[in-house]
Amino acid sequence: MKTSRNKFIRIFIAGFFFLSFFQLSFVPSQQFISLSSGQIIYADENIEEDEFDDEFDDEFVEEGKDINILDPLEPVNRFFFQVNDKLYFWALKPVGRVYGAVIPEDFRICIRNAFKNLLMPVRCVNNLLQGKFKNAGIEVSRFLINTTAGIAGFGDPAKDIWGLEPNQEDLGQTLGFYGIGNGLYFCWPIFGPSTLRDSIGMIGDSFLDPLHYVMESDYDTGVSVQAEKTVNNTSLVIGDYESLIEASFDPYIALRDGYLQQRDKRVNDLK
Amino acid sequence: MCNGYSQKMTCNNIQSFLIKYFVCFISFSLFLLTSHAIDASSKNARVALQTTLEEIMAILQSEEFKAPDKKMVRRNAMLYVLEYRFDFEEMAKRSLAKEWKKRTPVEREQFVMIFGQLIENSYISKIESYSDEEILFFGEKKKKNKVLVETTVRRNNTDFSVSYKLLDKNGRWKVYDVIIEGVSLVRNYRSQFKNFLGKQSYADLVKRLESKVEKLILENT
Repeated sequence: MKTSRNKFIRIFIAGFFFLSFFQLSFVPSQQFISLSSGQIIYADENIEEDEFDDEFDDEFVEEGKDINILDPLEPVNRFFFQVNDKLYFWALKPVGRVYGAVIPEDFRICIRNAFKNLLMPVRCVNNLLQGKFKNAGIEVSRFLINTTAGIAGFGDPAKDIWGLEPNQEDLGQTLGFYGIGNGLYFCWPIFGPSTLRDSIGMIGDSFLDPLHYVMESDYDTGVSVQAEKTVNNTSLVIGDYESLIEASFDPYIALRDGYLQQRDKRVNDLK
Repeated sequence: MCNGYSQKMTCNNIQSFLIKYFVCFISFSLFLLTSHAIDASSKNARVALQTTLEEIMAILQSEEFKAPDKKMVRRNAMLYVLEYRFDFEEMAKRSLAKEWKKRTPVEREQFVMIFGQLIENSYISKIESYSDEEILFFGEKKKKNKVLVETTVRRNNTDFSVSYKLLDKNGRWKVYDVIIEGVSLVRNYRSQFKNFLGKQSYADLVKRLESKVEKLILENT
């Protein structure tokens, strides 16, 4: 009993290092895998018919209408949004700045590549689950090339030389591919914006993340690796989250809508 | 004789000097004319957008404006280029959506002004922080009088997609939406305004927008 409780607390602390991964990851393309608690699925996506659409109908919006999401937990979500915001500005950003000043940019990009390379199983399996066999094959080739010629994934010769682009797929997108809607919106503390569907996807994907197993066998190593990953990736995108917040009228809604729009595009492969 | 020869040379020099300047002047004015003619005649939205982005990049990279005391001059130059290509009225209209119809012309005008300032100030401060980005143009899709131009911005060895929606307004292509990594600016504002108007009045919205812009301008100067 005691150990399981300790484990929960430890996982929560580890989560700190995942902070705003989603907040940040929605500007550049990155993969985010984590453990978190999920709940029962009841997917209901409410797409509202808007009289506005008749007048200024936009031919380029293929899905047609604005995405409306159920957000019954808005007050709680707003609170956690504020918490995450503060954590970013007070903890993650200053640490990322110092880290970025010490380690040259090129090297940080290499580290980011290596972490991305390790997430090949997630992308590959989800491509397979969606019947995208060619893309799954590309993922395997990318992994083989980058792990060998790219020296443990630090380089990305698969893209630079052979022009093989990664295909970002995760379980949330797979579920969406089979018609499962977003469900409720959550702004998780530390993890950032997500929906019911994507939260469940994150849990599923975490079993394909090597880091998950590192953390299970040796917790402290797992946490420090995760911390390094988060700080490294943050140092490369400092400024993106800030400009979103700066340009927004209501930052909470701006982040929620941005997250939903981007996920919608990814699920439908419209990017 | 020697004197005469050298005099002839200077004469030639002056002549060629004048010719050079004349050619420069002509080609420059031709350049100015064509940059507008492209807009009107060939209706090539991509070229129009490319010109605007190149102009902004040129202003950003020019050594002349790099001094700290030239910051405002540089900003005004960029705003001038931006306002020529971006249509804040269309953006405001689409962001307010249903609420736009309920507003009087005076209110609309006021809203377009504040909204434009919000976009300008947040956009400008963003692009001021980058100068080593590379913009690659992909294709364009045309539907009726609208064109979607797809570009990729390369920064830190990471590509992210930025698309521009342009519409033909009296023969000039104007941007009415920007989509960054799948997130449409206009739709993003629309959801924010819609959410706010569900709880509070339009007057509150304008008030809050004004204070937001004021804060932004203060931060930027």
